[in-house]
Amino acid sequence: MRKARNRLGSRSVVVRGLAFTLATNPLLARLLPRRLREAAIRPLVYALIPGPSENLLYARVTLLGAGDREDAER
Amino acid sequence: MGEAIETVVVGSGISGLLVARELVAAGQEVTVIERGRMRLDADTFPHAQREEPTAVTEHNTETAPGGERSWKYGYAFGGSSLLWAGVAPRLLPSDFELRSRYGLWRDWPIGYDDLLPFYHAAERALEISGGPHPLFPSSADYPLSPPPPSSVDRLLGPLLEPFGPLPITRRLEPEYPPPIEAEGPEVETAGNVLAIGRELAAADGFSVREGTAAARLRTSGNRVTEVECIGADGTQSRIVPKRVVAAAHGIENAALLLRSDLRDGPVGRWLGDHTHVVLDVELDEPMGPWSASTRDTGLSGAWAEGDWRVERGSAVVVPFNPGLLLRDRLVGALADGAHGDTLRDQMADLFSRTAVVYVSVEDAPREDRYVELSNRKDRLGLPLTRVSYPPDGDYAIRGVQEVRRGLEERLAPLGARIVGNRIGGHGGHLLGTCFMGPDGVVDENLRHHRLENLYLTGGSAFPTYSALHPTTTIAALAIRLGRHLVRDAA
Repeated sequence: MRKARNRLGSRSVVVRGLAFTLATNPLLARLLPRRLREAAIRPLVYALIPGPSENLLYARVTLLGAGDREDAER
Repeated sequence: MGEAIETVVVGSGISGLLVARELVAAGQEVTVIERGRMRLDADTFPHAQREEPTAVTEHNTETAPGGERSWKYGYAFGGSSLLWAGVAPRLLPSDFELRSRYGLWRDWPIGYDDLLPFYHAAERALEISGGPHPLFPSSADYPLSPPPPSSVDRLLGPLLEPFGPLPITRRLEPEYPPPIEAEGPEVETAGNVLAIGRELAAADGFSVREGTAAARLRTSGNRVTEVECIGADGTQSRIVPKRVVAAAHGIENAALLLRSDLRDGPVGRWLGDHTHVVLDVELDEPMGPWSASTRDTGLSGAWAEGDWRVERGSAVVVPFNPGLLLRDRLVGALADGAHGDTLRDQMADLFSRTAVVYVSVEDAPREDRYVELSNRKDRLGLPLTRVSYPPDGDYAIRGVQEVRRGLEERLAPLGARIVGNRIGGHGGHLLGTCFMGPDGVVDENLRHHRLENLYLTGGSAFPTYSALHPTTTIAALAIRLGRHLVRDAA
């Protein structure tokens, strides 16, 4: 969590946390379609698990960093 | 009149620095022209900062409609080795003889046995760990012993024969930590040619023009007489070389010739890459305690070689040690309402029962995959390159299909089902465009067919592409060229 705050800023992490909390709340979640729940959950999960640094073969990265590793994993 | 220099090498990647090393060791003078900056500690930087953005490091490619592909390469001292994932197999003996053996496309003008001494030299230069593998004759004497097989290799390997150690640089990037508890030696930082660059930087006779593009070659008769250079600030200069070695990759080597209006032979045509697929293979039972010392440790040649190559692509299979990437599964499970112990157990079960398998497949060489000059120009007035790479052909797709079918069949004792199929990292192997051979652009010694003091090496010289990763062969060709030039000068 601390690393995510340093990387993204406290406000961003709080916003992602709020979206996560809403989308995983057993009562509120029922009101949201599944795709929306995933979209609300994903930003915090991705902030906490930075991504497929394991394998550049998966990542459309160049030295410019033009590729987005998160996109690359998907 | 420009400055007179013995050998000009264009590009400072694996090819450029290995050619330079041979020449400098023989007492010759070499100047390397590199668009990027010379930072000898660049391998300690995050990948995104290894290339310094300037006017000469713009990635000046556009893609043709219907031929889009994202190409990975970089402008920095060390070249694209700074992006190298460290996987270092040789090619198969048959990869050099596709015409003779199967009637396909063309043979290489050199064979596996011709390249063997240079494979050994390349494996020493790149500090490759490996061991005897049934796919590669005379593969017993790698400079470093192979990492111990991972737990995944121990489980899958016996079912995927011929199976053996994956040759790989022992030195891995900090972004590739041993994913699970390490069994082998501690993993270091590197996996690129900066160590060789540091040696060369301290050697007599070696110099680098960093932040400089080789804009054009000027010729007279059958010789290159000048290399026109342009710096990031637009400053132009000229070099009068005794000889020139273009040591960039399939896009840049072709672009240099095309900008110089040297269109002899199929310059820019037959661009090649591999088809990469990543399969998630779910098994009935957990794979047991995970262990691995590096990212990949084993290589299967179960679909690499056979008479069937007349109709479908050769494929090699590498179990991937870090295991299943769980983020998206985690998101999905959370969206389904899983939480607490249930969620943890679900993820642990998924992870322990899912093997991730990387597959690299050979595609057919195609003339409609090419590099050409665009009508547009970059900030320095150099034409952009326009690259066309139509999607994977039937030859490669049939190769992928056969691996999918065969994997489930061979791994049936483990209850294997393929549950995920992702496209892997295309665009990192920039092959062809200036290939060697009588109908190509260079001869078996990588010399241009018409210009007696111009040589082209690197992935651009590949006449066909194999399914195997090209780096060791690129390094072997560079060392072979370097030694040829030393003999030639003598």
